[in-house]
Amino acid sequence: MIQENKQSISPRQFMIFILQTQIGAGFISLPFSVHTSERSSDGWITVLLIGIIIQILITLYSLLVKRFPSLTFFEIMTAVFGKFMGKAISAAYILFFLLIAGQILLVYCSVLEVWVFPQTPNWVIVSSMSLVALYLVKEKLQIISRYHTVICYVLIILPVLSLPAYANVEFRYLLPVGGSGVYTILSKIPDGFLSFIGFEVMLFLYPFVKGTNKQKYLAATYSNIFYTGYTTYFSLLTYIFFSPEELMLVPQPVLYILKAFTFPVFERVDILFLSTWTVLISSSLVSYAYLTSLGIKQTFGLRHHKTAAPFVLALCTLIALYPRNDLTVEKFLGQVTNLSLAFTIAVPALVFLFVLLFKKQKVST
Amino acid sequence: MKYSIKLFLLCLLLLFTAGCWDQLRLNDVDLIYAMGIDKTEEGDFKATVSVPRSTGGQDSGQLTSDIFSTTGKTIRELRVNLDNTIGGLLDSSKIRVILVHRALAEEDLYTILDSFYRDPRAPLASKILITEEKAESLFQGITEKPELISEYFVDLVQSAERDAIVPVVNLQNICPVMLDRGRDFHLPLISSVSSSGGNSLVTGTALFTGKKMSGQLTNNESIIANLLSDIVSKNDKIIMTTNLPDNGQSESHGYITYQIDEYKTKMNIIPKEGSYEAEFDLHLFLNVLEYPPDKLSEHDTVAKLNQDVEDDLQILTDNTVKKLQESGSDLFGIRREIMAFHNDKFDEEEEAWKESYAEMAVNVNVEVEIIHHGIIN
Repeated sequence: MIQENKQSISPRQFMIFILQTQIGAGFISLPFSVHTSERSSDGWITVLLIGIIIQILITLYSLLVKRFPSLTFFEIMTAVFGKFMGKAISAAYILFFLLIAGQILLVYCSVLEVWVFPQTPNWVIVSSMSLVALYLVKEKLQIISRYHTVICYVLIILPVLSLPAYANVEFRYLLPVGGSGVYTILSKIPDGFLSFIGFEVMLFLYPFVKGTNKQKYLAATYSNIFYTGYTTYFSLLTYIFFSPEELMLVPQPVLYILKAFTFPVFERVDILFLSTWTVLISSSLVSYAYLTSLGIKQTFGLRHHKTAAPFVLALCTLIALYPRNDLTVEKFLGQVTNLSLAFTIAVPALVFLFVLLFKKQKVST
Repeated sequence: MKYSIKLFLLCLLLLFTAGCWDQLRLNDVDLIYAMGIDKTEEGDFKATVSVPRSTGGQDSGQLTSDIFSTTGKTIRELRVNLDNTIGGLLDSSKIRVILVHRALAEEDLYTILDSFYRDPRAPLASKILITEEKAESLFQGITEKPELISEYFVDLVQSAERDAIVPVVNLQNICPVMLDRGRDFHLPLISSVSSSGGNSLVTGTALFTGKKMSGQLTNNESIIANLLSDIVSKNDKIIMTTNLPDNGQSESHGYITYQIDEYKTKMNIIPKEGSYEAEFDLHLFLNVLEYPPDKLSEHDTVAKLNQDVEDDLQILTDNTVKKLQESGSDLFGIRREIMAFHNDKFDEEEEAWKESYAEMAVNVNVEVEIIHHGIIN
């Protein structure tokens, strides 16, 4: 059914693919999204909790896809629910991925517009990114994975740039730990969830990975541990740098921290950071656009996902250009968050239950 | 054929790679390096900026500064008005020092700084000074000097920073503290030496409570406050002089000057029946720089001097703490400490906290020890 031999990636590439999909647009504002209250900054606990939730989901996913070792999630849908229902659910997933890709572009564009290019028209920023992404999206999975692997080195730059911040930190902002109350900390989980999205690529890439189930599970786990650690580091740094009250005013705290320093050569470190971040954004965008194209190919029986790729990116560009003011963007992000909770938690969990109840297993390979 | 079409398309694409929308040419802009903000009698803001101009040839070019000022309702409007006054395009992203007149700081400092925090190109590493006189007059006072006006003010602050009189802060550092209920900050306070303008000098620090200036400390008090806050770096040179009590030793002219080589400070918050007490231990290690009566190798002399200096510094410290409490400026972050370690005082109203802070028992225990006395006894 699938060209397994033609398109296979190693477990390590699988791990990096998940990681690069996760590190995306939401990353620089995550500490702000999960910021709890003006009492004490407990957002980092929320970040850790989200990491744990995602680990549970990864376990659930691997139990589910283990039963259909050679099918992607799109094909599992058809196998489990029959042709019509399966295609309908797949179509919903395709739309969801399209929205996520659009959202990535949207956040990318609005941050760049506010921080560096106030005069440049939005369509230039968005379409140049889409065009670059198109080059990769139309390629094979291996090539995309190789790109993701190469740009992994960029991940080291960001923590290094953040080091000067330690000259001016106040650890007492974190105390008392849990001071915002358990309810507040838990209630912020959905707000931060969007920044963690990307682990669900596991459902769709599973059959393309060479290796045992255990290897694949571990790959996803390592990716999750790394990403949770990475974001917890930046959250903690943000929380000791900004006082809880100030953080309420700063939507991109990770960038804002860097604005305060100047070095003899680098006058604006935040721009250096942004250009690094752009690379990370491109990888998430490529991943999601690829998944969308893959979904279209598998659901509508195209011969190659390449055919769908230009249309997918064109639609993303339109989505990213649609909202005109910051409040609409907020509202849009809120809705995407809700959708992401539905598509990464609710639907897979229901499918898993369904499969368990009706003992559907290893249907036609 | 196909190849040439490709080549043509590539060249065409090349045209699109130059993003010309956000270019900012250096020869079009007038960079401003220093900005002073005052208040006019009508209640508007008045800004004074210095724009450096180079005169003379390219090699022997001397830098001088031109001074402009305008008024406006907001800081951003001021910048627009200034832009119209000066020939070139005004660029404030290189501002190194901002002078704010005391009257404005007493109203609300954040109002003035908001436009800086909001602008992605704003110079967040610049220094802020509070001025005793109108900032404009301080600018005017130093026009004769060939050097850049911004350099002058920055040097002034940096030397005060090395003497540990003023804290090392910039626009960004003070923001978390300004918005934090648990702690307050202080900024360098400068004034001109003579009423006719001329040189300026650092006369102490301006104390803030929240976003408003609420008091001031003299240089020595400020040093003590910095020591108690534990923000003095090891490389700072803190030199102080104590007037010794007259004790019949006629050979002494009554003064000793010393440098504080090392120090240790510790804050303790003790909860007591619903309220709190603050205890500070300040341990200073001195290096005597000047003491004409000598005999610093004798145990008795040193012990006596330790005691005398300690008494003097104790009085200074008590005065400092009293001033801080009266002005309501919580420089040491006592409230943050209570919030962090006793999980209390979170929801107290600002006024109620100010009252309880003013009445709080804050005891500082100063200990002094002479450890060096130069290369003679």
